[in-house]
Amino acid sequence: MKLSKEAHDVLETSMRQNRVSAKERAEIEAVVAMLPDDRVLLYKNVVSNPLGDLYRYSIHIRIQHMLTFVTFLTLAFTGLPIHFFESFWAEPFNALLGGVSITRIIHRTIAVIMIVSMVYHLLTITLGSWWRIRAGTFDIRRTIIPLWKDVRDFREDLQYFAGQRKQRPEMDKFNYKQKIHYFAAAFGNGVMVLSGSSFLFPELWAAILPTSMAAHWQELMRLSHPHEALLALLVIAFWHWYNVHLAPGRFPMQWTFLTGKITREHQMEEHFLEYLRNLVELPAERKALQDVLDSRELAGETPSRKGR
Amino acid sequence: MMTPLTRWQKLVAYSALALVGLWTLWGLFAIWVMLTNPRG
Repeated sequence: MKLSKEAHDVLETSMRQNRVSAKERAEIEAVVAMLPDDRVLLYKNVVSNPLGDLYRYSIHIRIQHMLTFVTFLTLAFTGLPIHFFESFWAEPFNALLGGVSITRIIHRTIAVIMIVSMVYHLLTITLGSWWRIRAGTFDIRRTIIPLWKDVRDFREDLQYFAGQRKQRPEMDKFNYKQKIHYFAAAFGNGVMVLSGSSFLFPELWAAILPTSMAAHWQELMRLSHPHEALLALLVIAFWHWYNVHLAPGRFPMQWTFLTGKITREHQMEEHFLEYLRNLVELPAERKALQDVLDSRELAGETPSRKGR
Repeated sequence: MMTPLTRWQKLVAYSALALVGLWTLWGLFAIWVMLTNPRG
């Protein structure tokens, strides 16, 4: 495979950061050179364990996802009957929990757990990045930070889905779609915490804001809280769940949130640059890939479908 | 190509899918409530 400039840069950076020996370098370059130019051939032929083959998320990220997952669903489930407490369907729901005042207490308690999860996440990414910078293994391309390449990947992926490209773009550990989703969730969390706190501590906000603005602020927050909740609910139900449960290759469920691992097939398709790093970091993966290339007679395949 | 799921893996995966389906119905209900209620 002839690597693109970006893929070549990623590979070189990874080999430098991992201080690979000359022997390992030769081995890595040999196996990369044997990859077919048509990556579709590759990921359609590799054997993958649906529970995941390659490391992707630490235990901290998985705990944070689980906390957000449980608290978000519970907050949305209790928030609706609080907002519409006079409705015919909300009354029995609130009565089941002991009245709307109890539903409110549950809602606020769960909200505190969600905020704790946010703080835990911020600590993880900050300390994790600091640790990597100190160790000399930080690579911004491997983080969730949006880069110009994501804009190009977005365009090229749309072209692929419109049938104008033969292959998906070579995306990194977090692709453009995941970055949009992540920052939308971060923004939503911010709005919910801000608006929720203004319901819980109106005096505090009245003391902070100019008198002329306090009432408008409360009104703005009263509108923001349920509508941001509905937006988040729509994103989770119709976007996130499609991507992790229903999308081709993921059905019936992507196991990464439990096992922390991604399938080889998925990583080659949607996170090819991260797969190249795995070839550098994991000698066992080089061996597994070599076996696939040999057994499927893919090595040195002349590309019949040029990707670009 | 994926190796097939074992019986318990299928149970976990399809149960999760069923929960997701139910929750999507709740989402549709929430949309209906928000759109039809004047307080929305």
